[in-house]
Amino acid sequence: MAVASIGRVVPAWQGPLLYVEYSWTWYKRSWRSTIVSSVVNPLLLLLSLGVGMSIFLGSNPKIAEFTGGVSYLVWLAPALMTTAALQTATFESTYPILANFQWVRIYQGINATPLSSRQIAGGTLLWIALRAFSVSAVFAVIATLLGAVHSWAVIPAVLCSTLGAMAFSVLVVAFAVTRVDKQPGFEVVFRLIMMPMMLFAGTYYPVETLPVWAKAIAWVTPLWHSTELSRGLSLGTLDPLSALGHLTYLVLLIVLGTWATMRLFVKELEK
Amino acid sequence: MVSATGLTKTFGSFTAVDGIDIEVRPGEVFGFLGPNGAGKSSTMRMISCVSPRSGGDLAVLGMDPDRRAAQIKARIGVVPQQDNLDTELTVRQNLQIYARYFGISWSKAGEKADELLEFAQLTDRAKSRVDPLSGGMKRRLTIARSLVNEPELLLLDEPTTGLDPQARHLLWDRLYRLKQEGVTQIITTHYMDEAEQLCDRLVVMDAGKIVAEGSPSELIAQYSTKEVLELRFTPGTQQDSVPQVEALADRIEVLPDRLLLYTADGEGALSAAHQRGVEPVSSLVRRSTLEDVFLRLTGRQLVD
Ligand SMILES: Nc1ncnc2c1ncn2[C@@H]1O[C@H](COP(=O)(O)OP(=O)(O)OP(=O)(O)O)[C@@H](O)[C@H]1O
Ligand SMILES: [Mg+2]
Repeated sequence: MAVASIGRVVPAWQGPLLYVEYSWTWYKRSWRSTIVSSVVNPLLLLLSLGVGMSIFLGSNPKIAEFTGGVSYLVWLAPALMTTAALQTATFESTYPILANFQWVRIYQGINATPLSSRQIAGGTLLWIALRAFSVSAVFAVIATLLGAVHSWAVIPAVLCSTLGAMAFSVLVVAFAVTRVDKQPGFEVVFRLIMMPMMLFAGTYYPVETLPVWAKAIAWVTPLWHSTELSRGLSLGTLDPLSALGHLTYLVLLIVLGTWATMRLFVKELEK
Repeated sequence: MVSATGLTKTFGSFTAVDGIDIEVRPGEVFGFLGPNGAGKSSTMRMISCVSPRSGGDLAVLGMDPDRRAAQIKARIGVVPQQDNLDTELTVRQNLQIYARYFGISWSKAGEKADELLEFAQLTDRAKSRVDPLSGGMKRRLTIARSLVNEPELLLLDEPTTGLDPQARHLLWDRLYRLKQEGVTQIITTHYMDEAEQLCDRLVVMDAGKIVAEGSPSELIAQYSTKEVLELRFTPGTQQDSVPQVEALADRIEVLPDRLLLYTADGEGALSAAHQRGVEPVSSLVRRSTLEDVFLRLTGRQLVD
């Protein structure tokens, strides 16, 4: 052979990391603008609600009944963390995915390299997970500085928050891939799924106070499970059996959604 | 480098590529010509391992794309018909990031990027975002990007569509240099002069099938005559002269304002036409080109 290419096939595990490296290069340009919507806004909500409600409700004994004695601010913080992570991850799973498939066609470009469609899908999900993790972590650090976090258990809580965000995100990414070259329909996801989930997941008040049909909604949402986990860890009220239940549910969704996402990426990229 | 037999691509009940046989030899530049929708891009996509074949056999660099796509992709370069650069990143970042997917280290990828910027004459735009670049610059960047892994086989799907003449000549020069270095190339194009300039061998595709195959000169010899005499008339009156000139050419084509006489000796045919009293508004004797072959094989009507 007259020429020998310098290209080689990277190990399977490295493919997704190369996609993450690309995403990082891309994200570095504009992280300042995203930090406001993904972290600053939720923190403002935490302050206004946490502090405001504490003053408004004063020492109402009903509060202590469900917070287990901690202030409303401390009770609210882990739940707003999971919500913030989920919101950011959900957004990252909609228009950016469509852009990569049909507007900028980044994925088609990468698909012409030794990276496989599955590795591209894996990298995409990994990047969203890192975004959800970073939002959770930054939120946790600032909430700690604001006095809304009292325990080192916030560290595993950050991981649970990431897990919860991903359990929903993998499904949204899969949905997004089915919307390539069609009407996106993401407004339906935002308004009819994400918003109600944020209202019924026991973020602002305990799910136990809801009627049974509303409780049922909470139980299917990944956000309720991750909120229970994060809050339970932060406040030290989590019992191992329910922890296992929540984790199993979230991991199941992630496995299912990842499988679907990979299949759909292959179908879309290898026509 | 590439060998296909009975290669087929179907989309649902529609057959885009209908059982073609091709053999691309090392070091040659191989061309696909054909009207819109002929199946050129579909074929290119199967060769570049991003589209599974629906039937037939295909080997690229001696490997089966169905089983060793990654290994093949590592050693080929692809210029898709539609640019897919990252418009938000800089010109240089596009090259550097892309090289990473081929297992090239970050620093080597940077060196490669600089080298290719030079190659594509984009060095002074290295730090600008891709989005505001002109179409021609984007195309040059896409072509530079296809070279990050120093491919053994380069697939170019309409590389010069949308380029101005300067950029086209620059690209031809670059492709010629790559050929000198031994890089095998497969090109699709709608420009016949480009195919004539670049291709050692080419096939003409129509409706998913190969309708002709050979070197540009072979194709001209086989499907056209050495020369063409063009007789221009006032539109509508060209038909009247057909009986007088019919015997002067191997084949006559009647266009709205012209008669094309395919013949080995254009000047001879012209004086014979004058002798027979034919008085065109103007006349022209020219060499036959690939365009004549193409139009003969695929017709003058629009297919899409
Ligand atoms: N993903 C797809 N789904 C359905 N039909 C497709 C798909 N891709 C291509 N086709 C059809 O296959 C046929 C061949 O398309 P292809 O892009 O290979 O043609 P082409 O020779 O490259 O044409 P052009 O010169 O316009 O680029 C066209 O009729 C096209 O509409
Ligand atoms: Mg095409």
